[in-house]
Amino acid sequence: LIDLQAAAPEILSRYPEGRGRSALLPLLRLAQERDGYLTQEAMAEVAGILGLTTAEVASVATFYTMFHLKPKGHHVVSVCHNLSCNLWGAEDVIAGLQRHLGVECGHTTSDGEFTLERAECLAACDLAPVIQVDYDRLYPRVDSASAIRLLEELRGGAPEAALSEQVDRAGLEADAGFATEAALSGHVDRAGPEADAGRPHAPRHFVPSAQAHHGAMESSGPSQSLEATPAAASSSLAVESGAASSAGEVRPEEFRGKPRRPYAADRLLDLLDEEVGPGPERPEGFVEEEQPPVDEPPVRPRGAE
Amino acid sequence: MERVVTKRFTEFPDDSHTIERYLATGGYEGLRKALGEHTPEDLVEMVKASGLRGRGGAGFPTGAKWSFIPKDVFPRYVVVNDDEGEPGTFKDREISERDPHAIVEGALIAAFAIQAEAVYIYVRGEFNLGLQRIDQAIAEARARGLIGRDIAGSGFSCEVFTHSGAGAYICGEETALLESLEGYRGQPRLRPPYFPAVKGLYHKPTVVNNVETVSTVPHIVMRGVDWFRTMGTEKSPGPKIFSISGHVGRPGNYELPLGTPMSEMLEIAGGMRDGHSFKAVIPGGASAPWLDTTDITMDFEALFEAGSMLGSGGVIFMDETTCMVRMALVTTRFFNHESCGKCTPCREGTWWAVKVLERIERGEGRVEDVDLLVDVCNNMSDPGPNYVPKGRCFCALGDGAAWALRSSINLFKDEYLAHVEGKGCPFQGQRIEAAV
Repeated sequence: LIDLQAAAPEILSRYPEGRGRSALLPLLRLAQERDGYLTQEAMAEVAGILGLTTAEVASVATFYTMFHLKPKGHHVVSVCHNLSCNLWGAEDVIAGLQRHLGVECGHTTSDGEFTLERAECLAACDLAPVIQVDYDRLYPRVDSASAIRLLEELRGGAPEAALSEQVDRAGLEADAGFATEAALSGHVDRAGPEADAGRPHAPRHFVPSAQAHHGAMESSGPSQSLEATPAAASSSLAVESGAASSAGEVRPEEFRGKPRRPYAADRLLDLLDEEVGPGPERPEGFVEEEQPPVDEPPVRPRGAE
Repeated sequence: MERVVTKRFTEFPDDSHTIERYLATGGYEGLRKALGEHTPEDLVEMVKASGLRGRGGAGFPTGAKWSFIPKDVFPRYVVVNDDEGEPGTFKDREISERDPHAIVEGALIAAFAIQAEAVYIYVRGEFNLGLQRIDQAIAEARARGLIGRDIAGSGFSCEVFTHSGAGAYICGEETALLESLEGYRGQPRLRPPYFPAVKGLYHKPTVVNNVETVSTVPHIVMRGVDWFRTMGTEKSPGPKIFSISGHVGRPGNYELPLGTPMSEMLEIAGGMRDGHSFKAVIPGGASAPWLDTTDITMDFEALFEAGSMLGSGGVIFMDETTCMVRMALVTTRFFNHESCGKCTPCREGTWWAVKVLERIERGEGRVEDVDLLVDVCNNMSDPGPNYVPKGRCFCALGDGAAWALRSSINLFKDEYLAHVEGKGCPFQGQRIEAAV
């Protein structure tokens, strides 16, 4: 099990004296790895290690999309919906997965197995559309059918073993990020002008790793049965905006999409402090005048005006 | 042109990331030469003379960046920007996974040139394999005395660390990256000072360079300025990795000299996919204004002249089945999601632009919406003839959002109006074809 207290000294040693706050992101990543998401307790623990307040830790944790403040599924499935993936049908993949799992993007299935997410560009545009699982493994050139099959394999448990086996086998030696040898070699070939002209954008379909691994290629190559159904294909961007609510009307809270981010005013003040210095030294024996306690204004009931 | 930065991993795809392969293919020779035969000042002058321009997006001359380090202020740092997130760009991930030692070596040369005591490689949070590979490379190099105290017996000491992000495009902006590295929300810093060289990491002199930039440096040291300048153009010398994607036959990373005609580039990438024709291209990542022609050379100056930019070298080709309103929506939605919220024009402008674009795409748009979008763009970024950040937003993210959207309207206003008049997207039919 991951022990933050034990891991902290090594992480802190990477940064100069007095710059321990730099260890915040690494520690939060560890905490999330340990607990599955960032709990209040974990944030308090990290705050304790670094001498920060929990609020300071939370202000950072809420900024970054990879930190989850609520429990997430066993697997986080991120489907890229940016430019190149969109050009190759990412919206169909998302629509297919949403229908299959019965959840919208940003939510977790009721069995706790999957959290489905839309991802911004995953820097694998040549393999579009691409899915990343658990912020780690990339699955290239999926369509809605092969994406559903991938999830079912992950759900089964055994294929996940196959996946990690593949990662182990490849270890850091081969390209563990890509599930298929075919896609891998295609990827390498295309890295230069003398690329293999005989393989135009193929395979278009993701080959499930377990099958690839066990040599059952005949059932996993490009085949007509894997084509996206017309129903899957006809969905589009509307999924996110209009079709989300049953009436087809977009409610204002859905309009907002995500919570707005507050300003980092405290940080700004820090910067100003450093700019102008800490101010004159206080004479010895100086006692800060005690402020009289301020009464909280009474909370006026709504509509009292 | 011969391959330079991509040479090792195209020739030895199986083990290009190991130190054995790296050393066997001339690895760390550049570092040894830099430490043994050059003074730090020499190296800065050499990189200046090579004309190497930053490969991360802004194209700022690397040598000049190094030379801005103030005298007598220590400690100093080198930060390598591996937070690649510009949609359409995937070169840094490939270098991280396949040639991590090149990043380490280049960063160490930069560190020696500015006499830095530590290198931080800021790796994008989603690059798990890349992070493992770079960590492994650091451990291997350290075990061979190439990192740490008295590197290769030269008397120069420097540490190298990775620092992983956690999902924020804005951290590719160098001052936001530094904030993130210091443990804060990744929001850009106020300028001036304009360069982290003056006040960077921990407010100390810092050079922030892109992964591809530092990976190019060892080759310049080994083979010299004259060799480097045999490739590319006068003002944009050297090789550049272009990440080509979209509706082309063979998407992928292609290392080509700067100044390569785009039409030739399209041909190299397999041309438009079978049976389809060219419609538009995004020449330099999602921030770059779109073009509707391939009749242009791919270098910093030519694209600037044409009102666009080379950016990060992410080239996205789109064929005739592509709805331009939808692509503008995808782009703007991205910038809205990634807006850090610090400044109003970007935070609100991208948000409203997405709402208006969604309305047009759904068929509920009004004719005046098109002008409204232009107005929103102009409030995020000055509508000047050439694309340099004009300071209406806190950093260049808002500019990028406005450039992309405004160019889509300039080039394809008729398509916007067709959406309005037809009360819907005219590409519904082809969209299915485009998707499958």
